[in-house]
Amino acid sequence: MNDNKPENLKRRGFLLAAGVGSAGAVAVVAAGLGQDAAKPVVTAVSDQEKAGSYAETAHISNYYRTARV
Amino acid sequence: MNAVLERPAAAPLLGDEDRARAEHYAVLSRLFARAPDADFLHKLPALAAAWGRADSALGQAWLLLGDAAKSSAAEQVEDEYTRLFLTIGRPEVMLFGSFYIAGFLMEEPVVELRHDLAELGLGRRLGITESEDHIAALCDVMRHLIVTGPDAAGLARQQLFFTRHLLPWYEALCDALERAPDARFYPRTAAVVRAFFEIERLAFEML
Repeated sequence: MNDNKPENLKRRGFLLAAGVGSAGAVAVVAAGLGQDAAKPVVTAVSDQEKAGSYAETAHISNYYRTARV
Repeated sequence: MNAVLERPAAAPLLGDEDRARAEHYAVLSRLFARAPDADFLHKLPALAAAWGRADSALGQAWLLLGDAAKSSAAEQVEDEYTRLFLTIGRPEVMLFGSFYIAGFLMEEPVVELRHDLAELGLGRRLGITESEDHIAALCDVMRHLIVTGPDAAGLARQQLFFTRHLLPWYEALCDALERAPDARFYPRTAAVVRAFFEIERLAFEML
């Protein structure tokens, strides 16, 4: 990612000014929320499951563990 | 192979604004995936306070939603969720995009969505009965795309998915939420969705 491109800086500035920039709120507030509180409805399809059903891959599962609310 | 190349593809470095976007999508997904339980409802005002501010539409919307959460009992909100979204037959508010785009559920928009999801390597979790055009599912996809792709190619994927699958109908959903009869919590979510997605739309246009 080229963070220094003017359009990226403009976009970032816009998001921050619009109120989308205060990250970490969920991590702080969500501590203690139920583990299954926000199981994603849609998730990544692992290779062995592609034939007929869906499941989480390990790295996606890890990510959702960090982002779950 | 060096350490950088071995870094898991799903854990790239995210800027604060992308982390905040992913968190917004996560919370919106949670709000619509199922009724808030007492724990989530109890935490929502703190979350709203963290994101709330008087000088932006999004910040104001969070503050109002936080107030609504503070003054609502979980049973009330659960009843409201069930009545608005889960009524057998014709719910008062549809949470599925195909209804707003095509006028029916499970029509061509879902076919197109499934095609796009397959290209992204995504699909429904086992045991999930809602179709993929549920607002919570689409928010999950956006969260996934943000976290796995903060680079230029990833932003392009986010923009395409948002433009094709959320932009055409989110305002109609917000209108329906705001008009929901005898409801006091979910109409407040409409302003958050509207403000956040408007910011997303404008920000994508800057790419």
